[in-house]
Amino acid sequence: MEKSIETIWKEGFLKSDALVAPKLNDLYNQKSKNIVDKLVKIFKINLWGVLALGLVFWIIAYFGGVPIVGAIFFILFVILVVYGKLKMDKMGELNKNVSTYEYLKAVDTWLKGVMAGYTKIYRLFYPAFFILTMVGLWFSNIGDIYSEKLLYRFPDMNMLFGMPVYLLGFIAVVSSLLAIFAGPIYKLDMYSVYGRVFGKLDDIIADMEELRKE
Amino acid sequence: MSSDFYTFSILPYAAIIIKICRAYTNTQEDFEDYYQEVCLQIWRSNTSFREQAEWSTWVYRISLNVCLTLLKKKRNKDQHFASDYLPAEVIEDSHVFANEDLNQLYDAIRQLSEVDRAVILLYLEEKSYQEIATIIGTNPNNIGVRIKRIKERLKKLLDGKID
Repeated sequence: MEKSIETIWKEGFLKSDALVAPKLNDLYNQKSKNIVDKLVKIFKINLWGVLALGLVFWIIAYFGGVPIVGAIFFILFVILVVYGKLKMDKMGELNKNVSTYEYLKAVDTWLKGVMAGYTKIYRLFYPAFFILTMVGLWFSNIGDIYSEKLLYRFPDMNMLFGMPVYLLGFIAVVSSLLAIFAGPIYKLDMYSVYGRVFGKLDDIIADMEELRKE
Repeated sequence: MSSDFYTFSILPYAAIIIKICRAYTNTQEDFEDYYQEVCLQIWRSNTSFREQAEWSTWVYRISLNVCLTLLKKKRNKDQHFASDYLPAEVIEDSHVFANEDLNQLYDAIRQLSEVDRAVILLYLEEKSYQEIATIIGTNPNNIGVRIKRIKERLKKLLDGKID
């Protein structure tokens, strides 16, 4: 008797042996490779982004009449990039001839090292960036217009290095706060970019640790 | 991915993945590769899953997308490596199922175009026209006509073995 394709389909899959799922031997290796590749990719894009941002700041500062401030901005960003590049090279040296778990643990340790290093750098970078921005704005062509208005209104204002003492005080307070809270700020910044990858890396390591216990 | 992701989010839907991967592969080795890749992509994309859709619909969509992508890649690779000198791919696993009718049906399905394969698989899985259209990203109005055409083609391929 002829059967419809619908009947063949239904009857064919009634037997359980028709739907045996293959073993996933290499899944963790693939996932690990995937995570590390993604991490490296984002890291590289980030470094190029930082460099481009440094250049943009330099250009803006140049046209704003404060090229030296712009150059310092650029140097600050270059420091971030050079540090990142050195760390990337270190990552490339990680031994891949070990188990996936050991490799991922090494990547995780590397990542924590990078974050610790960057936290130290950002403790100086954030305040420096803020100081430069404020100084740059004050002495820029746009800042000149406002500083003149301010000085016209408050001619007896105390000045130091060509800037109002109140403003310097404000810069000092904010810079100190930035230096103190550099760690959490950087962490927030990092997790906004790498959060998902970090989460997946943690998950897969936790998974593999669990499997090793079994 | 939690350690239970595979057990609770993939394994209950393994039948879907197996049925689809079988339709796009000719060898056990390819089938296992495709199955693995589908699982990997389901895990990777699970954060993009929106609760409005059913998880099974999501699994269908990912499975089809992955199979179509891998097939395209394989085809490009085969073309790249002097396809003129290679024999046409042999279907090694034409008897993977215990049910001979099902084996023949799969052989016939494998001769359809990639999209037709997707449509008929979803139809056989009793998906509505709307669901089929959603999964393969097309207009639901044409699905009925297309299914009719595919069934006629299958009938010819199976040489009167089906009604």
